[in-house]
Amino acid sequence: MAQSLDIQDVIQKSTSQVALKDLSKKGFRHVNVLNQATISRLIAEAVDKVIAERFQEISSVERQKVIDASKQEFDALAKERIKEQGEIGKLQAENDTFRAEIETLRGRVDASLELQAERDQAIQKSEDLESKLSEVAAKAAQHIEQLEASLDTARETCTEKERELAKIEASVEVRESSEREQSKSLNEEVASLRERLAESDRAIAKYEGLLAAKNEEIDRMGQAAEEMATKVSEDLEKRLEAMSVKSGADEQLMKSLEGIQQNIQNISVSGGKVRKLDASDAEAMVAFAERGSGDTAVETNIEKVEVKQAKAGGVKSTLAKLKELQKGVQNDDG
Amino acid sequence: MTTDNGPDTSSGAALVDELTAASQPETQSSPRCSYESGRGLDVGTANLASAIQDTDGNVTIKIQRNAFIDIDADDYTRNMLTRLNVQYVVVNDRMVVVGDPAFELANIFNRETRRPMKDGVISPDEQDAMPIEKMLLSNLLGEPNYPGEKCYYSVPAAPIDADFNVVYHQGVFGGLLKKLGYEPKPLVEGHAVVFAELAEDDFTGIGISCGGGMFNICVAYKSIPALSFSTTRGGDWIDRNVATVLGIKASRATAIKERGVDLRNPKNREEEAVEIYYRNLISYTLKEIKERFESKHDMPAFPDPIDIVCAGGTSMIGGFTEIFQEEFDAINFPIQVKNIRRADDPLYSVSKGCLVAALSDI
Repeated sequence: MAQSLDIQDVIQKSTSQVALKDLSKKGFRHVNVLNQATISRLIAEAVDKVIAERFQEISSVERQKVIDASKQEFDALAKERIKEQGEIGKLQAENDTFRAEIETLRGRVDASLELQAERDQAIQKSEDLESKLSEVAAKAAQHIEQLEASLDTARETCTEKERELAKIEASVEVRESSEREQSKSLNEEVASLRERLAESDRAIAKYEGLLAAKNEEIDRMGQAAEEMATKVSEDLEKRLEAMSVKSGADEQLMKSLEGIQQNIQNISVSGGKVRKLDASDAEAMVAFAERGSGDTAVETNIEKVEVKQAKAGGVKSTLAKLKELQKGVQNDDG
Repeated sequence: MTTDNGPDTSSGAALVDELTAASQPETQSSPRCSYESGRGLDVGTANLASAIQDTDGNVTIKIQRNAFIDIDADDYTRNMLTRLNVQYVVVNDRMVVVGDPAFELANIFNRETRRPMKDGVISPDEQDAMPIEKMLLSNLLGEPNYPGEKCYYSVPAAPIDADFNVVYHQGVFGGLLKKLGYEPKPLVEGHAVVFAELAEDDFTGIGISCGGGMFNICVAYKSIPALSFSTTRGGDWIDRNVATVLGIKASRATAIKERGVDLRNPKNREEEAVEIYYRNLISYTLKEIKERFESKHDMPAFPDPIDIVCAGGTSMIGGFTEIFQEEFDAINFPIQVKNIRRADDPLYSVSKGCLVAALSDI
């Protein structure tokens, strides 16, 4: 029995599915839709028309043969068509795959290009930065040099200021030390003067005692001298009287003898007085006396040890010049 | 020569004479050795130095540091000191080491030396000093060739920045010399420098003795002093101040100063301190000299520029003349100065000047 034709199956197998998006990409904006029922009807009408025409010419057997042959032919064509559609589908799928790969590759290329551009930009930026960095480094080096020079100057100034400060401090110290020294010296001087004053007072007292004793002795001697002078004077007076009476001596001789008599009287008044000491002499003498004369025997090895000796330049020529100068001065004076 | 221009010590010496029990023979006997008659003696605060000339014209200087230090006395120390050639004297049961060893011992024991003299004159603080000083002088001078041999000894001129006189000091040393058998003749230190160092300039110029206790200045014209005075700052003043700022003993400061400092190139803080105080001392001295000159109406008008010559131990430090010149340039000095120089033998200059005076006074 002849196999019935499954139109829906045939259509499905002999057609391929294309996405509307793809059709749109291919430029198809409108499509004519032919549904399955219409196709089945058209086929039936075409067959019926052909069969009706054939029925007029051929018998039913023949017609059945034609129908079968047509069916076979149709099936063969459908199969071939299905096979082609399958290959087309495969090619279409490969094409789609290739397209997808191309798109991917394009994407990669685009990405690569973007990366390349970015890399170029980065290199450019890097070069710019390096250039700027060089400039900055040069400026920085220059600035550092200036700073170092300024620093050196500042250091020198600082050192100089430090030295000045040290000198000022030393100067202040000197001044303070000097003032302290002067103050100390003054205090010491005052103390020394007081001590010397006390020593002087003691010395004065001592020498006043000695002086009193000497004055007493002088007074005694003076008294004795005075007595002697009085005696001599009286004796002279008697002799003068005798001379004037006996021999009538001249006036000149009388005056000389009176002068001698006066001198003798003066001796009795001033003869025993000693030279007065001034204060500085007394100080020196007393201080020296109180410090000891060094006469007491002391233990020492000083004389056993050799003193440091040195030969010095001679003084002969100096001495000769000095004597010559002195001689010249004497001659000038003469 | 005469000493009319120097300070009058006749009364002080005479008083000492009265106190001196031993009478001195007045007649001159024949010389005991081959030395010329006449001695020079520098009585310095820091050093004592004697000068003598033999018959060949050679000058011998004996020098002794004018300092001492007392230590505990025992037999072992006595023997050791003698073996080590260290001079000592036993005073009041204390052993007193004298001279340079005293200075060295003071540094070792971190003590101060005791000083018979202070600020150029006998120190009132040292009661034990006089017998020691007499022994030191005896050891330096020895016996005179004959009793009454002339000994010119240096004395400070009157100070212009302190109120004390030098009569006592002068009289005491005159008395000590008299006791030793000499005829003492005082000579101001600055004048001694003129005698020793200014022969080439007809003894005309300014002599400055830069000593331990004082700076002594003498302006002389043809050996005659026109002006003599002193200032009471010297090497000891530097030592005291350096010691104060560094917190050390003055003896240690002296050792630092004398170990070879160059004032132009101080190498450490200690040397900087020395340089600062040296400069200050020189500046102070020059200003005092200037003021004194300007206030003195009878200053000689020198026809030509004169020399300034510095002597004394304090002038021996390196760079002294240069610093002196710098400070001199900084002030308007009232006298035309040709040259500033240091004596060839700064330490011996005063004793040599005294010797010249003694030899010319025979």
